Amino acid sequence: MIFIKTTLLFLVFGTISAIGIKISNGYKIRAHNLKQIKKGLKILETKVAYTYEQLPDIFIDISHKIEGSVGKLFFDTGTRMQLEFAGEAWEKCINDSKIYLDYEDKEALKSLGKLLGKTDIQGQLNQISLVNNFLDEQIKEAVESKEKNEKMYKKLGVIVGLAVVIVLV
Amino acid sequence: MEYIFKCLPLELVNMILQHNIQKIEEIRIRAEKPVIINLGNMEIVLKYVVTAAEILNIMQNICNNSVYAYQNQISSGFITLPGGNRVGISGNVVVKDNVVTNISYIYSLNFRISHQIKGASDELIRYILDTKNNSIYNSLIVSPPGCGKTTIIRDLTKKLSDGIPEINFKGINVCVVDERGEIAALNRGIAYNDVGIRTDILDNLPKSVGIRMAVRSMAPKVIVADEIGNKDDVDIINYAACSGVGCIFTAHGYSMEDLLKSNEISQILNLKIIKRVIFLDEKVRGKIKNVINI
Repeated sequence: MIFIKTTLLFLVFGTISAIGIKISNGYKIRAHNLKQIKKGLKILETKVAYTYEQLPDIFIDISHKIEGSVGKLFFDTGTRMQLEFAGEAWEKCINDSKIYLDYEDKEALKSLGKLLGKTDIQGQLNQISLVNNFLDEQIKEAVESKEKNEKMYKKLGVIVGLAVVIVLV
Repeated sequence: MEYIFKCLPLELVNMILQHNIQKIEEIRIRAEKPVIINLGNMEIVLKYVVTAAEILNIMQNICNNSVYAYQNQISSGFITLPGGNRVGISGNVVVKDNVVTNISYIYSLNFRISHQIKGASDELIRYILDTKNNSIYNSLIVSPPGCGKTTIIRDLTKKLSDGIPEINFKGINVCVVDERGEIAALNRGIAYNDVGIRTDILDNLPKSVGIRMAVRSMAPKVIVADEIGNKDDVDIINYAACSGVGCIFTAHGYSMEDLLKSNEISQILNLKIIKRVIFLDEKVRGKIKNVINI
């Protein structure tokens, strides 16, 4: 009986601590994702300005340079663009993506789709630059949140876990 | 045609498909006007009015979602599609320092469907070949627009490049300076029209630049280019001929009188570089009207 009780208490403690760690990791992943997206947009900006490659090719190329869910976002968009308008493909892929980002981050990224592939080089560069500037703000905010909350949620998970165990005991 | 259909609204495609698509030469689309298709001598006005927004969507499809990548071609007034077809563009033209930099608001698109006709140059080639030397006489093929000049020189290029075993003519290196991308239809490094196994292609650049590049880098026996008559063409054609390269060009005109009215063509003819001037019949596509030896 004591063995089962101890096991259950450990499970409760482990679950609550894991929740804390997950919330804490969310801050880290969001900042990382935003930085990766910014890296992708920098590549996009350079290619539009200098190589005259077409958008579907550029997006697929970026997906080979960036790993994880951000790379997948670029890959899916590049593939989808071959059948749909670039802006629509980008917006749909952001909506469908399981990438860890805030609502505001996603809305800012979607604004890239408004003119994507529709204008001359200067128009494209201006739009990318606008989104990049917004991303800078979001990255700054995400890094501050990460520094503020990452350790806190980890510790909070452990403390709440312990508190619940004590109450149950 | 497949690529063109991918660019157009589905409803419009269905309407076009009700006609004989093999004969379609042009699809003319104008904002807020009905679409017109041209089947050789017959014109059909479709009951489909295209909106300005649809024209922009068509344009985005043509450019594979990358209008910026086609800015140079748009500034030239046309885009070459995979498969060798061309789209002419008109609208609000943006000019900076006397150079067209963009077409900002597009009013109309003209899809011109190119036809590669094997044997199109059969009648004409005997005036051009110098079989004794396995070479050619420098030639100028002349006709008004739409009489088949480009189709003929495309076929001619293939024959010179592949060789003609029937008359013991061995294939020679040919360089096509394809300013408007109509002869070879080069797209992403692939020639969609068959211009022969010994043909090099310089695409989408002025003849004055392309001919010099071709002579210096590709060592061609013959250079082929469409529609000469610009100021810069005189010097560069003289340069090519003096370098010992054979020349085959086309020009717009009805008669010798017409040709001589153009200062540039007149200068080229006075240089005695061109040995044959071949006039095409304006009524029957690809038929020779007369040949003048110079």
